[in-house]
Amino acid sequence: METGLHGEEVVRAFYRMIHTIGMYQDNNTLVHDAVSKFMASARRLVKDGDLEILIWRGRIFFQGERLPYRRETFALAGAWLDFFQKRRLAGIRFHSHVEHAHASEFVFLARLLNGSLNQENPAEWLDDQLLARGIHWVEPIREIEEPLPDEDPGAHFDDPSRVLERRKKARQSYLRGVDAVKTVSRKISVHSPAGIRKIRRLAQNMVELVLEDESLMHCLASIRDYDDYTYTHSINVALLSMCMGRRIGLSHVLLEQLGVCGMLHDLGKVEISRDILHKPGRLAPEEWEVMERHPLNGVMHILRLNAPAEMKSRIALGPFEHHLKVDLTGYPKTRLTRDITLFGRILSIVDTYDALTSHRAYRARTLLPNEALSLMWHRLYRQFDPILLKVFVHMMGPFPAGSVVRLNTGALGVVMGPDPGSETAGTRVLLLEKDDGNGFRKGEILNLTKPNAETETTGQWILSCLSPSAVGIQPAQFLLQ
Amino acid sequence: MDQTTAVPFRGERQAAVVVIGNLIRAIKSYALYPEGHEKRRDALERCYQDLSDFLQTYHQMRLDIGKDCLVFNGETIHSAPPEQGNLPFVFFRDGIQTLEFQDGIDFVEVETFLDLLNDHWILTDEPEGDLVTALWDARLPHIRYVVSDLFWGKDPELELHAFSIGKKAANGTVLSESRDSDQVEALRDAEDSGDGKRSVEDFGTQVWLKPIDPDAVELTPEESRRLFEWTIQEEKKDPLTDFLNVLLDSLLEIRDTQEVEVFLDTLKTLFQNLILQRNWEKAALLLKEVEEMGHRHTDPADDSSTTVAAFFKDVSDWPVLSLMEKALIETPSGELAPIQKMLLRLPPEAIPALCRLFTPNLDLKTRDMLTAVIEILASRDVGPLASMLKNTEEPRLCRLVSILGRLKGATINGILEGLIHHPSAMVRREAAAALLRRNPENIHKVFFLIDDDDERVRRLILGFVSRFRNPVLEDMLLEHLQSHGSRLEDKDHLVSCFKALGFCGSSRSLPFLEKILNTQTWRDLFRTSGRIQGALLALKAIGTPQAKELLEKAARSLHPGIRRAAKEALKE
Repeated sequence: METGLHGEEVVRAFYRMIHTIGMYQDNNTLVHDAVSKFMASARRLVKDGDLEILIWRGRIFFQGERLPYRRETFALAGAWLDFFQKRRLAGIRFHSHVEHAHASEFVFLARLLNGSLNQENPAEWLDDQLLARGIHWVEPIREIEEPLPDEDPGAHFDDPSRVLERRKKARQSYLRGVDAVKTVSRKISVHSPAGIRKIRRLAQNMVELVLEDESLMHCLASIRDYDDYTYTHSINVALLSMCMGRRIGLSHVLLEQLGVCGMLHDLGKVEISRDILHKPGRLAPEEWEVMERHPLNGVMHILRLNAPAEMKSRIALGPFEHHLKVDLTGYPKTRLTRDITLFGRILSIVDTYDALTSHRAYRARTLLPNEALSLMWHRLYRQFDPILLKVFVHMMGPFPAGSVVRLNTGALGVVMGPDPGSETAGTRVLLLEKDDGNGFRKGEILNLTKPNAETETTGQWILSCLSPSAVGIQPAQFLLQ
Repeated sequence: MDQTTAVPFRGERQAAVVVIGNLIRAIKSYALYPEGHEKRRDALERCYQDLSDFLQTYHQMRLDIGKDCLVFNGETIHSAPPEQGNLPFVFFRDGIQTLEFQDGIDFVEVETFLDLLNDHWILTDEPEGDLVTALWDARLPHIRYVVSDLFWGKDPELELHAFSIGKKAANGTVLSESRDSDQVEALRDAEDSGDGKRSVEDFGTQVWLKPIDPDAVELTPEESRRLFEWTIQEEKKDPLTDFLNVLLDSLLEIRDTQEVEVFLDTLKTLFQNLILQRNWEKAALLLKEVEEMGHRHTDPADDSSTTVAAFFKDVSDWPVLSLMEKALIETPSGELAPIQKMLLRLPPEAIPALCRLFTPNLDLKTRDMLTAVIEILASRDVGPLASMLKNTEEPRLCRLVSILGRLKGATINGILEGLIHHPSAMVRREAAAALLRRNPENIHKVFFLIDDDDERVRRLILGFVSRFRNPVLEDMLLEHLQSHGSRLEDKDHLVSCFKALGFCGSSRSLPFLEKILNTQTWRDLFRTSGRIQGALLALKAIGTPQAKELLEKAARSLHPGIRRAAKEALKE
């Protein structure tokens, strides 16, 4: 039992370290924390000899003993098995002199493990990379069994077929999401019973996509619909909230709940007339009153959904709170609510961002993604949780995925975000080329290691951001086809 | 035959049939036996053992799901009509296309899988999810599944290009670029979270358009620590309290009856959960807030007040309050105050359910607390308590009568007066005692009980009249003793009545007593009658010189019976 508990702790710390390093840069505090925690638990154990995590016949073995499963650790075990199986590794062994290793070497190792996904022979590649860096305290263990018949060992993360498949799934999820939110809204507006079974399944599909390829979700969340804003907005908020949730390390179950909250956060707008929703210019006080009731109406609609009370209690909070500022001003008025929940704080940030970057009838011009981030950071910051706002701005980057940009060379492109399978941080830009008509077609993909002019002295960089409507494209269409 | 050892010899298909057979048997035993039952455990162990043996030999077991069959390696190994309660249909219904068990599966995984299967065996009317969502949440490492797109029906025909991106410049060139922009019009969404009055001009665009310093968005160690804590807390958090606050905050704004109904329905469920969690303070808060909302909806044309009343009736009923039974037994007496506070928020309609909470296992302090609560609730409206009196059994009824006696008002008197005719002696006694406690003059109403069949009732009346020297009581007793009622044939009772006369009476009774001593029958020569003995004791209790004189005279009587009795009386 002792080994089991230690094993679980080490495996959890190791997995968290790799996961965190996959999302953040070397100097990030979260990276520092994750590395420190793993180093501490590893050092404690290697005093008695090598530390070995091995996968054999579908089970995780720690120091030669099978790691016992508990219901709470299924997700960790599953993720860990997937991680090793996808890299065709049978495990990893830390030699006793790991205790003298430097933190930066752990970061390097984690980046190598993340990057090995795209290699022909991950174990061999890892060996070479570690040797080149002079790291001898760790040893990847090659797979000793044949992979399961259904698994395609050659299928890398960035294989064109897998990329296309992911994009197809992403598009499908988005469109199904829009459809599902519309269906629920329509049912609610005619007082028919509505359930959340489909919405939950969609949220689960989206979580899988977020975990697999966050950049793709950013691209997807850049979809805008001028005519039917509310539904695309709901899906965008769900996607970006889940991406944020992933960044801060929420479990898959919480990510699913956050996604459901995102999809349903504006359900209260169902009964607001289009005249008010799309009214150009300022709203009259009585119209504001109607608008300000939408979080409350949203809660009421959620309560009316065909779902057990416990589920409703988990998904009603975020929608209620998404217009509350962190100091509890904003709306609706509260007396008993003392703190905004984590979901509410996330939704508030993401909802504002998506609204600012969407076309609205009452606004002459839509903010560009980078402008929206600047406005939120420099001017609206008081209404958000400062820590989560940092996470959000960091996640979106200076030019969020889906941004239409002009490079210093004059070329137009769409930002694709960082390469999820790459161990180096960089922003990919899909160049847009004029087609025969008045539109654009896909061009080359550039990887800009330093995306803006302030840090780039040579080569290509992003000069400015443009409005997609000005260019006449739906950026996601280019990124997801 | 031991199936486990037989697996390798029967071949893969046959072994798969055995596994599925045991899986079905296990799920049936889940439906038949409660958790922890030996048969259920046995079925689970057999199911795990066979599956585990199969996987050790063949590494994986992949089933293709049909609506009425399970297919393994292209062959149907199990079939059943496509209806609820049959294994293939349960998988098929939720869109599972293939299901795969992999080597390395753990006992606890199989157990979890069967739990989930059992939970979703029949799809309820209010499904929050289904087997697929449950499997997804559970993340069983060695059970994989593929879900069919059929679940979605026809996919929406929409494609990404169908989303409108708004107006495009006529010549296809760029309308505006961020760096050029120095004026942005009103951003209602930014204002959404504000006072609704500001526009973006107020923000000073020149300032906010400057780029964000990348270092500024890096988390500090302290921020990183807090973020980590939040996520840990979020994983463990029970959203009940937050949800309650949201609902209660919402109550301030809701207007029409339908909205009130929806919220109160949820709050009722929440109230039950709070009781189960023993969160008495929050439960009290919930009742307080709903009550206050009821006060805001006092318009008779508004049905909300009826809905609020229905809510309180519901939460006061036994199905809800019975959830407190265990808590009341287990809560230490020092921690009863919050429970009492919560219960006092209930309407008097809760009294019948509260009375049912008196169980033999309750300690004295908890009983006292409940009694006090019922007393206060009944003081607001005695109706529910009174209506219980007709069909409540004796021990509980006595408690109710005792509570009733402590309440004020003429109505209570009327109820108690009715109860002194109750068939139960204990109830009659309790009611009479209550009436006497409320007002000693009620003796007129209860005095007839001096003739009650039950000794304890009679004793109550005699005890009461013995307490005061009172001419009214004296007259009543004199009248009673002269009435020759059948109960007076009981010597003990007769003597007690005389004694009582002695304690409440005065010289006015002496002629009556003297007459008894002077009127003997031939039988009194040999024995002392109850009347003589009683008269002598009464004289002694009256204690005046005249009474003493009569007593001494009796001690010198020619009748040996009187003489002896008088001497005894004097001795006592």
